[in-house]
Amino acid sequence: MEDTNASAGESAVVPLSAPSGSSPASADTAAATPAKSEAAPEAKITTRSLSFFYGETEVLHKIDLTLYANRVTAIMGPSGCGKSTFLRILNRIYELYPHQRAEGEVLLDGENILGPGIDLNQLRARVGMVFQTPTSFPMSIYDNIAFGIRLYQRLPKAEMDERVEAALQHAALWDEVKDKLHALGNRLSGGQQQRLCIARAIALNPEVILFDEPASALDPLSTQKIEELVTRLRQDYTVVIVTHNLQQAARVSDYTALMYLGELVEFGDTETIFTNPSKRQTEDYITGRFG
Amino acid sequence: MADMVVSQFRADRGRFRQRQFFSYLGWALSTLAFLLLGSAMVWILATVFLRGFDALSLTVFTHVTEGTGGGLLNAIEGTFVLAFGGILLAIPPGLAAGIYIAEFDHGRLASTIRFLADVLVGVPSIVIGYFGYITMVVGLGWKFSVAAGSIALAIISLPYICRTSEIALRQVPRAVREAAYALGAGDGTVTMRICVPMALPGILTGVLLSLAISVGETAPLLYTAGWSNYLWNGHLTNAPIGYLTYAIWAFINEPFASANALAYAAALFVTLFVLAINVISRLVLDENAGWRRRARR
Repeated sequence: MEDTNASAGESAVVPLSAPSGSSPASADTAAATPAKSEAAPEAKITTRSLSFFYGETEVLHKIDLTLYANRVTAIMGPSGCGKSTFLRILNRIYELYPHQRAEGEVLLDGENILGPGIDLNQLRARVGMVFQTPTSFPMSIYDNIAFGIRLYQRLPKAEMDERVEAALQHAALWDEVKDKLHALGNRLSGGQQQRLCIARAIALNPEVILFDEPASALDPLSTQKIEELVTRLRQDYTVVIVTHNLQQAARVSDYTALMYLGELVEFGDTETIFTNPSKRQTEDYITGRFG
Repeated sequence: MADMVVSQFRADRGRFRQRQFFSYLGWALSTLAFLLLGSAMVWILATVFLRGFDALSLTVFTHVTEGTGGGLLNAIEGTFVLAFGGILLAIPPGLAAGIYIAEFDHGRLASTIRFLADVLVGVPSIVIGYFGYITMVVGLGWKFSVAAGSIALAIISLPYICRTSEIALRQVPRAVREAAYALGAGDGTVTMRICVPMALPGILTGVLLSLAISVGETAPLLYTAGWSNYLWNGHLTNAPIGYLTYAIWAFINEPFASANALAYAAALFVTLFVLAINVISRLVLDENAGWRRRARR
């Protein structure tokens, strides 16, 4: 609402000043469209017979799924199919609640993150998450971004300023907030707050970003901006987005997984899933016969 | 279709009348209840304000109590000292307990604390006064003192601060909490940097509420703070102290007009304090107040 799409364009992309060499190099590609002409994708996260329990109730049944680096994978399915639950395993946020438990393996770069000896804070620095509702913290826009960085690094002010600006630029929010960095985060509109949350996740230089229905509480214009952003983020990150919006999945993703009643029904590249699905259930879902 | 609806409406005319009757009856009973309570409140306030203002003079503010006359300077000072002392003592354990049962509620301990806090609210304040008398005034040999009085008030304030803090913390959205954990923050950071700031208006309201209760308490102080005609000498123990509610309680039955006047002046002050505290807590809780304004720098 506040600006045109121009500011969300590629000129706003600034490579993050990476503190270590670990972050993927930001390819300065001009095109933000999901062109599929790149090299064969590498597996970033692989789940092996991943099951999940709320108490005694099994809600995910032995999911085997691969999420590729520098690709957007959409996970869709009707309400209650377990798609959000699946996402919440990938950064182990479910562990905040007792009686929730995952079984099986989740390999992040080959390492099982469900195994013993995994540092949760380090894991969450590598796997960022954006939630359904905007979750700005009770502090200024600047501090919302700096909060996460300060958890891991002690930076001089000038360097922190740079990191904050880079993150906001990357999330296509900089032009809208550069004059009010010290205003409170929750003064922003819902769509801006959601981009603030994305900037906050990006600021940690994660490898994977998880989106849990990031646009379901937003108006169409804000949704469009979030979708453009998600599409662009694939250059630098592995992106997983949960959505119940078919069109959204078709627009933003390279790969699509369909889940139903805790089972993975079908996984494949988005074009195939939407035009030529191999399972009857997928076709029914795509054409609106259930869900 | 439309015909049917109309005919049904005509057939239910009786039901309509019935509903109208009960509607009027409800309004009438509510108005009556409001008038009863409202007139009682106006009566009390009018008595306190009229007689209180009549009793006001410069002496009330500048002189200490002398027998059954003089001023209330000692009592005004004592009320502030005791109430703030009590609040300062009650905030750390009350807030800590509130944070514990709201944020780290995984076992039976939390529900026990919650239950005990609710019991403590129900304990008559004079019982807490007598407890303070036996344990501190006599047991520890502190005699009537600021320390014993403040601790008695702190015990009374504790459950209010604990429970209001808990309720305020529970209203912090789950997603915001999760978002902080998802960045890799630990329990302490999430609680102190995210949850407590967001719950601050609610926590402050609890603190102000218990401050108002402390200012208005009499019974626990009779047994612990005693009474003094002089200004506080700064000692925490072995020194009784004056306070406004004692002046009301003791002087209203004296056969001297000067004593009665002091009692009404004291009643006016207590009422004004409590009123002011309530207005402040309303402002604190008001939308857009609290952390939103505070964090603006």
